[in-house]
Amino acid sequence: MTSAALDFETLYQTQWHALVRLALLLVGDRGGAEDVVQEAFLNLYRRPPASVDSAAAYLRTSVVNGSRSVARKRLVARKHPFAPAPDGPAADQNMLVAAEYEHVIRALRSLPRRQREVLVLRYWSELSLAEVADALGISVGTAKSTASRGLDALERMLGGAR
Amino acid sequence: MTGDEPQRPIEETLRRALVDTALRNVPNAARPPASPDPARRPAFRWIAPLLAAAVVVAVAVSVLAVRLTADGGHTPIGHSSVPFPAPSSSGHSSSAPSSPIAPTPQPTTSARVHVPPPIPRPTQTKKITLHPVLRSGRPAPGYTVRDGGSAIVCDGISRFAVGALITAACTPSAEGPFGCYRAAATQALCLQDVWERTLVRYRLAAGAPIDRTGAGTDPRLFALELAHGMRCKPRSGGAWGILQRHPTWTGYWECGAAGDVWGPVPSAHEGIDMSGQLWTVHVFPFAAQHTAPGVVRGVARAYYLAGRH
Repeated sequence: MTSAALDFETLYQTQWHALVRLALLLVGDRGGAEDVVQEAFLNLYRRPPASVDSAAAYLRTSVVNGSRSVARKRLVARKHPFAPAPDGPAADQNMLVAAEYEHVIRALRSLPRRQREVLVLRYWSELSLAEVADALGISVGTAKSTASRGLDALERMLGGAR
Repeated sequence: MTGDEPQRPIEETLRRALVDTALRNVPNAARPPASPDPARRPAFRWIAPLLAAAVVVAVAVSVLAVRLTADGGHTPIGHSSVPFPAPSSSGHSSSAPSSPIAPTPQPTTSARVHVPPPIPRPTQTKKITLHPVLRSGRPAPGYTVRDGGSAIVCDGISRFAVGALITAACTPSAEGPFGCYRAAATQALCLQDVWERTLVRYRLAAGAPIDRTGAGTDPRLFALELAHGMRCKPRSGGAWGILQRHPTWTGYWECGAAGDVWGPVPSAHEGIDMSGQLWTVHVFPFAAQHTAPGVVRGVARAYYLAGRH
């Protein structure tokens, strides 16, 4: 095994869990999350970046973008159903959520995509506002205001539940 | 977060909810699938040979055209009479699936639906290939079909996918790994339990792409029957915790209330020691699997799902 391959493997083993969890919170189910992460690593393999740090940032952005793509596909699938509305839960509601946090996760998932992404990156991935902005390709000011609006919206929605 | 702004209660609530949900769905014991090395993916594996074959054919056509011209022939190149070899229809020979559950030893026995009684003292593992869905897309004799009741989206490759007519990770039943075969243009038949002989019919959600690139041609190992009768299905996710005696191991097969199969990470064969004629696994009791010692069990039967026809 070459050193480059070894680095890729190490990166894969060390980053996989965190990235799948990030994708899970954006996509809503583990199967979809694993697919997103696998595709992100595949893209990285094809275009290896210069350093491990940039690789981690690349993977994070790739996972966010991939999660958006999955969400879009599912939205299209739901808008154009083959038959009458399905009886079961939507694919992106297939998460195990503790009862005490169910209302929080449900409220989070009802937020606009950008707000949801900012909040997940900030409060799950523990990124700074600058890192959030970098991951999403937005300005720091936009990241900050989006996070603030997202928290406000969550507070409003959860006001009666807490 | 920034250190200079007061924390809002909603921030801590959200953080806890995210952490709990993330860890609950993707526990530390979850094992990453094989790293996505494109060289091992069938789609990539075949690009080079196909290009090489195309070059060879082009050269052969050119040479023949030159000869025909030299002989005064008039066969246009576009309608070459070069005897192209018929493409192989089997596709089964050596296509290594990208799944980490790749079936290294090929099964030698074929059976439609047959669940024989337990083997008392097996000396070797019997490999059985199941064909739950016929090439026509109809269920094989002996299998019953029930309605899954909802549309599914098949937009990824399942580790346990088999490659009959459709192989994909299908949601919303992603936590229950199963082999799905395309039964009709908009339907899939999915096998979730080799012993139930029941196929679940799902509608395929309209517009959902069906990715067949990972469809293996080889049968996929899908279930185990241990020597003492314990039946094991592929692990279906969720938190399994950590074995105190083997903290780096992970769970590979679910065997019911009696226990589960665990093994080291990585494992070439999903926790199965295939070095002998009788395969073996490590079983840890479910009730106290975090502390109790495991036992080594022989694998009496290994059930494969047929690959792409």
